Amino acid sequence: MIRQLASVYLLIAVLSFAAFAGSPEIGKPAPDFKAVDVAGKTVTLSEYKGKIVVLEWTNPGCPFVQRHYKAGSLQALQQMAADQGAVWLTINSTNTEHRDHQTSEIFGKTYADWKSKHARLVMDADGVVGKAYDAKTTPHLFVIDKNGVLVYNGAVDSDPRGNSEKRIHYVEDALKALAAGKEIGTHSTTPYGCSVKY
Amino acid sequence: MRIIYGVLVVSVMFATRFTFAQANATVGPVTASIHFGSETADGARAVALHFVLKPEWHLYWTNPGDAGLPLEISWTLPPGYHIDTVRYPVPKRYASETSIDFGYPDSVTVLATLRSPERTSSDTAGIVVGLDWLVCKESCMQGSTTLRARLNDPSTRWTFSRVARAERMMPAPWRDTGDLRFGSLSIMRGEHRTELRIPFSGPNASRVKDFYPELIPDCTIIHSEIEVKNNEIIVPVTPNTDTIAPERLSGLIRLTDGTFTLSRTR
Repeated sequence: MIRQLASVYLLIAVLSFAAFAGSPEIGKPAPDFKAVDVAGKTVTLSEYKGKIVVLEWTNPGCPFVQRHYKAGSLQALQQMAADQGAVWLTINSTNTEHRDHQTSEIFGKTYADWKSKHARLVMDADGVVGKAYDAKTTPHLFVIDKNGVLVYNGAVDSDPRGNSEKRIHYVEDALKALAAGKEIGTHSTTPYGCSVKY
Repeated sequence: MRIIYGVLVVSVMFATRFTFAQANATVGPVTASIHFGSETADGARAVALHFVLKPEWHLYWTNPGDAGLPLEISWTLPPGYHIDTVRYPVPKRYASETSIDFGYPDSVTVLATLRSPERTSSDTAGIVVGLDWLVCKESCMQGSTTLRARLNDPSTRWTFSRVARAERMMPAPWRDTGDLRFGSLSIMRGEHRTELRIPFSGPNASRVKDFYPELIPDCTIIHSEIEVKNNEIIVPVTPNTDTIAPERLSGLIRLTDGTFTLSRTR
């Protein structure tokens, strides 16, 4: 009886830790995940071991996301990442009941129309991947190095309104530092945008 | 001749109205308007930026929380005038499973103080205010407008009691008493997480219930883990770089019987 109770408490403790683990830590292995892309194929983080991976949380109904794609800033960043051999996964955690939710087909078409240069578009309508990374906003970006270690978590840049002349390009700077084998200066920033529609 | 004169008069009236007539504007679910209180003996005048929202929409506080965007205000004032304070009322805390935001449903008034230090105040003077906001319900919309008004425009006038009503929504600065005192800011650094702590003490320490932090430069606030326990306010943050150590923590202390602004340094 005592052993059974101890097992139950242990299970509760483990589950509690998982539920309140919070944001993944910089310098620690990025959480692996399994989801499907818009073509219905399985996507895992672990399949890209040995490559730099960028995770971009998105919602095509969010004005911040629309502004970046209209300006071409995210496409340029995606192209830069692709040119240096990095894998760019664009993830949509919008729940199926939300007005911004798009089916795989429409989601794929929207980003094709926007000439997105992502490697894959990932569907996460149940929010499991988003919650594992504690993704807060759209856009919200994470950079993972070739060893699977999280090296950047935060905003794409320092300009929420898109009108600053002194914009700092955090993700671009992180990718450049990784390509040059240098230390990333800013490894965490406050992401901005709409809340993720879990 | 009479017709030409009439056309001229109407044109001048229209041009004057047009130049400084945009004291209110509706953009999507937000109606914004500017209002003035009466000038005080020392040349100060309350400026109220009043927002009325359609049901279920909300604007954001200066710290929007985990998502959102604060209101941005830009002032164009006549020579000699300046704005010396801008105050926001106590926001509502929106908590969900995954995020915490601070904002304003229904309606909100932001109060500023307009001063003409050399008593150059002229009721014919006009000011221009640029507003830029994010408003959210189920989804979000960005909006912006420019309000223009002359100080003597009767349609923008707010009575003393109307200004006082907006004043009552503003948090007052906290002043330590024998019953409740707040100490200096201390910092506990972890590998990737830093805790900012403000201790408090006194017979009324149990009055302290919550803390809404202002934005902290170069740090991400972990809003879901803000605590008030063991006579300490604890605000966990993730600094942008390893070398950042905040010197100041400011925000709103929520007591059982009111909300106050508090700022503490190390």
